[in-house]
Amino acid sequence: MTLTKDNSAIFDALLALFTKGDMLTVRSKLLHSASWQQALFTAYGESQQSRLWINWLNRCGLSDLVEVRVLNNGSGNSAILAELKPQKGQTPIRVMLFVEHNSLNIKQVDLTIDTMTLKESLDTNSDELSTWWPSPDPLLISDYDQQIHPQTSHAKPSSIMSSGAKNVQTLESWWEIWQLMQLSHIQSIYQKNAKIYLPGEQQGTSTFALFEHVTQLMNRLHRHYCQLEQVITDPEEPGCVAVKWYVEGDIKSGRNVSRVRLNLMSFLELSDDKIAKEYLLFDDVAYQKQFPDLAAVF
Amino acid sequence: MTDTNANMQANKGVTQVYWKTLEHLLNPTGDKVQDLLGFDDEFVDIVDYIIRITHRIWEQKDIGRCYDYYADYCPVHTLGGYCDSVEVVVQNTLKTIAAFPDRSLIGENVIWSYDEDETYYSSHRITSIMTNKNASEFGPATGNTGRVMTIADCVCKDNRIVYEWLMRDNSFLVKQLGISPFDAAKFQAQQPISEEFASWIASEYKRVRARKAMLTASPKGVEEDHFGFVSKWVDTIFNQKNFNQLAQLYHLTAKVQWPGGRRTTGLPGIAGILTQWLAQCPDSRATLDHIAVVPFGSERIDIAIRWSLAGTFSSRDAQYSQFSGQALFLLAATHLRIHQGKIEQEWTVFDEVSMLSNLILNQPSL
Repeated sequence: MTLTKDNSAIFDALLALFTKGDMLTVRSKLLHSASWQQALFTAYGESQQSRLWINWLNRCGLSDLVEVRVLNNGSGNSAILAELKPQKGQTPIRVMLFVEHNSLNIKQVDLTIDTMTLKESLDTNSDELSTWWPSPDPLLISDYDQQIHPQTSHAKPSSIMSSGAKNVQTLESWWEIWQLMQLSHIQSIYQKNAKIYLPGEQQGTSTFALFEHVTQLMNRLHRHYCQLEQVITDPEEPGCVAVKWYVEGDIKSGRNVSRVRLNLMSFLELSDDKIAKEYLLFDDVAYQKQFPDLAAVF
Repeated sequence: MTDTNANMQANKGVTQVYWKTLEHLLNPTGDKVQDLLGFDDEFVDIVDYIIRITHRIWEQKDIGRCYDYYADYCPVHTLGGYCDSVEVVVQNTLKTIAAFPDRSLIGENVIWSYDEDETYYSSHRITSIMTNKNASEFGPATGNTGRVMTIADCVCKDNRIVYEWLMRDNSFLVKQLGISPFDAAKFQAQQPISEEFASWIASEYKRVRARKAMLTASPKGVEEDHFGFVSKWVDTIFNQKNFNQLAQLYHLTAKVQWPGGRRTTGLPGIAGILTQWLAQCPDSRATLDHIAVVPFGSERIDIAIRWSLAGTFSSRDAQYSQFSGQALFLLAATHLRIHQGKIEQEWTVFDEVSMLSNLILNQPSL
């Protein structure tokens, strides 16, 4: 696809929804057939999408844009990582969007709000937040063999990134931390003073916290499997990568075993082939609404 | 498998819905790109015809336009019933709009083929948003809003739909309405079924069990290797159940949507959907009944498949095991997006509520 116009109009329209309540502009960019996924709920059409936005604006107010990073792969897929400070909140929150567009119109938006930072910002808890948080789409996970057998095929960054992309080897190692639990990579692919923004983490923490986070999650999930969905790189931002992925696993609760899916978005900043900064976004309220009978995973 | 060929090049210029604004879809500009003999002059191609007549009937609620766009005698097959007159099409449309007054139909794609004798086949994938304000085929009103995907396969000739197969993901819809698929099926099973429907589903079951596909060779306008790919897809998955061969059919990050909220990315998850679903009909046989192929952009193709499955229902689920041993028939449609010879995205649609309802009613009755 050849992009004919500067993409900034698309990104400005999306952000103006949160910062100005400008619904008309974003509506004018969204195709009639566009989908807007937020909180694992997919809204189609003006009525559903407007309802989603007004719900957010009513509860959080307008937001100040604290910081934004945009990656654009040049063929219609972009990722936006934004830090927003809601008027009704005390502290900034993180949101990340994966957007499919053609510079003129938007076909698809997949938005993840880090609800742990939101809870802190609004000084509320999951129960209260879940009363107004959208209800996720029905999801039926069909169980499967999660093992990596010698003759089976599994996605990894190199299999979906263009051959000329930078940092592929580092990303392969990053993926192995999650998919193969190869924890020693944490020491080798992160800079010593790397800042890690885990879900709910305001200030950024160290690789030690990342180690704790990975081991805690993988210890909680039995038969876990990580699946890559999308990797976005930007020729003009060669040190940054956005990844959409999920991890599935079994959670035991009493005599019951439930298979769950955690939808995640990662934004990595690399320097000298090592990760200098990492953001991991997860909507734990949407997760808890999708799997209501299970305790939180984090 | 090549993704483009001379025939596909000839199809370029026919409306492609994906990036079109609604304004453009409803007010197409430019010359006619297909002859469309027998169709109204206003339509520039078969996609335009399907998109605009659907909009008029459903979005503008001009239900009577069915008289303009359906033949007086028009067989319509669903897994839940059969009708063959435009009068019944109008009545059913009116009932659905009464139950879901704000129902909107968002056209996602129209994959088409020119069959012969000025006859076109269209496979229209639609996302509908609808609020259940009055009693419906699933029971009393719930007041909840739901989303549902439909694939409507139509044979179009002389400006009219003359034959239709309608597949709707009703199990996904009723879950959003707050109704369990089994409760919806029990409610639906209270309605009498027609002799025509019973006769059709029995004959279709026997046809598929005998592996008599409606399509046994590459039809006109469909490349041999595209037909071969789809035949392999049907045979590998539904007949042979060789799930490690999915790597030959799907990309590593292929996205698949199946009825009832089954959504996954990647080969293990796809194998999971197929394994778990087919385990309830382990002796299943499937037939390829129609295929249409159109280009999507310059590097991809879209394929529409209508297929049928028949076998013996076998469930260990406490709720459904009472039906084990009964015959099961499925009418299904799949849209595939192909890139570099493999599936990048799949949408499969069938009606699991009607499937359960038919089990309750012991249909097909052999």
